[in-house]
This record gives sequence, C-alpha cells and structure tokens, in this order.
Amino acid sequence: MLLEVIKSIIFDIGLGHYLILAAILFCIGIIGLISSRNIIKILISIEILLNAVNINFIAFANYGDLYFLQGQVFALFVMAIAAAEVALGLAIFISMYRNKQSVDVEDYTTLKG
Amino acid sequence: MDLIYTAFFWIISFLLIVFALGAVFAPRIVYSLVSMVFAFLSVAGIFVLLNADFVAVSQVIIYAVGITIILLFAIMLTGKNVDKKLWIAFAPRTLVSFGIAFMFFLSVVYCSLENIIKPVFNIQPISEEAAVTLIFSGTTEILGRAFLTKYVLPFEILSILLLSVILGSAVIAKKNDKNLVNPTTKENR
Repeated sequence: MLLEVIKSIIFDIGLGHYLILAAILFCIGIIGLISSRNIIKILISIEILLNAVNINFIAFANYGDLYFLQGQVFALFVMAIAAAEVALGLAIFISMYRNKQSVDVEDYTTLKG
Repeated sequence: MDLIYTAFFWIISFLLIVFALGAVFAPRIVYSLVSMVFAFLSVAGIFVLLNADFVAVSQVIIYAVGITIILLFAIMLTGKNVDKKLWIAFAPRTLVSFGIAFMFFLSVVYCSLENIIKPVFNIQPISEEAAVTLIFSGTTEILGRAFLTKYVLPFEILSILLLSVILGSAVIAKKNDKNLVNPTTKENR
C-alpha cells in the first residue's frame, strides 16, 4: 500500500507536483526577500517569487484549459511587468546609491522605517 | 515517453531548487547572479514540460538575458569588496522569514492534495483534440489570437506602461547636480 503510494508520487507527475515545486520556489524567494541585506539580492528574490507564480499559472493552464491558455497569457503579462519593475527598481537603487554609497538595506534609513 | 517525461521533471526541478537556493544563499552577489541565470533557464525547462513553448522562449529572452544584463550593470556600477559581510542578516527577521516560509509550504502541500484541489478547479485530463492542436500548431497562434482579440486593451495599456517605465527610469537614474546632497559632508557635489 505504502509502496504503491510512493510509486505513484514518483511516476505520476500531475498538477500537485508543479504546485509543490512552485511552493518550494516561493518559500526560497520569501526567505531571500526578508533575510538578505544586499539590495540587489532582494531584487533577485523578487524575481524568484514572480517565477514561482508563473509556474503556477502555466500549470493550471496546462491542466485546466488547454483550449484558451489564459494562464499563459497572464504569465506573459506578469513577465512584462516584472521587466518594468526591475528597470524601475534599479533606477531608484542607483539614485539611492549615489546618495548613500552603500548597498546595505540597513543603511537606507532616510524614511525612518 | 512517460518515463522520459518523469525523468526530465525530476532532473529539472532538482536543478531549479539547487540554483534558486544558490541565488539566495551564495556568499557573493556575482555568484548569486550566475546562479539566478541557471535557475531561470530551469524555469524555462519546466514551462516546456507544461506545453508552453512560447512562454518558455519568452522566459529565456526576457529573464535569462534581459533582466540579467540590467542586474549585471547595477553590480558593476556598485561593485566593492564589501559583499561578504552583507551575506545575510543575523537578525530576528531571519527566523521570522523561515517561519513564514515553512507555514506557507505546509499550507500549499495540504491544499495540493488531489482530493482537495480537484473539485475546486475542475481539473480534467487533457482531451485528444486539444493535444492534437497543440502538437501541430503550438501555442503561439492561440496566444496571438488571445492578445489581439480578448486581451487587446491590457496589451495596449502594457505598451503605455513600458514606455512610461523607460522614461521614468531614465529620469530617476539621471544625475542631477543641483539636488544631490551628500549626507555625510552636507555639501553639494
């Protein structure tokens, strides 16, 4: 009984596998987002989060509606907005770096957060 | 066929998790950038496994090349040898982040057990007709029709957004000599 369950987990790749993979990726992104001190590493973690969300969208598009593929359309929108977000975030970061000469987020205390 | 699919799924997801961990926990920022590139390529492989060829190619073009070059420029503009002591914050919020991530993971694992998710999202097996359409024409035609008929308004608004982002990032990153004050010496540069 248990052996069959393990066998089906390994050999029957389904929607749940992709959801759990995306959840692992999302958790790695959350850990990096909160616990890192370098601001570029925070941007990298945000990109990892967006990729985890994209995997979810495309998994549901594959297993849910293969006719209209609305999940893939939405994933493309997410990609374009992620590119915009990185460009804008790095512009803000570069102008911030000119003032502070530091990449440590714990030095960015101008807003008294 | 099925065995090959399974093997590719496990190999690609293993590589993806390893490279994502490397991107977050690498001691230097350049290593984590290189690891991020490979993680994004692995995500493109996952998209190929999920019948999303157009999205996979877009992933390679946008993420693995475009965003990486932007980040590389940022690293080159700010490079100093202080990366190592900025590795990770030894603060209470690190523990909080691990806790949040663990709780989230447990909840997703609970929700993705099949008998919970099947009735909610109406998951059905892939029909023969749709599979034949995908094999012969790919997803590009479906996505193009969707973008130019049903989703044409968000598509056009997205182009306006990208234009304003280009202008805005150029304005923000521009060097403005009058307004820049060095906070340590209180003088204009």
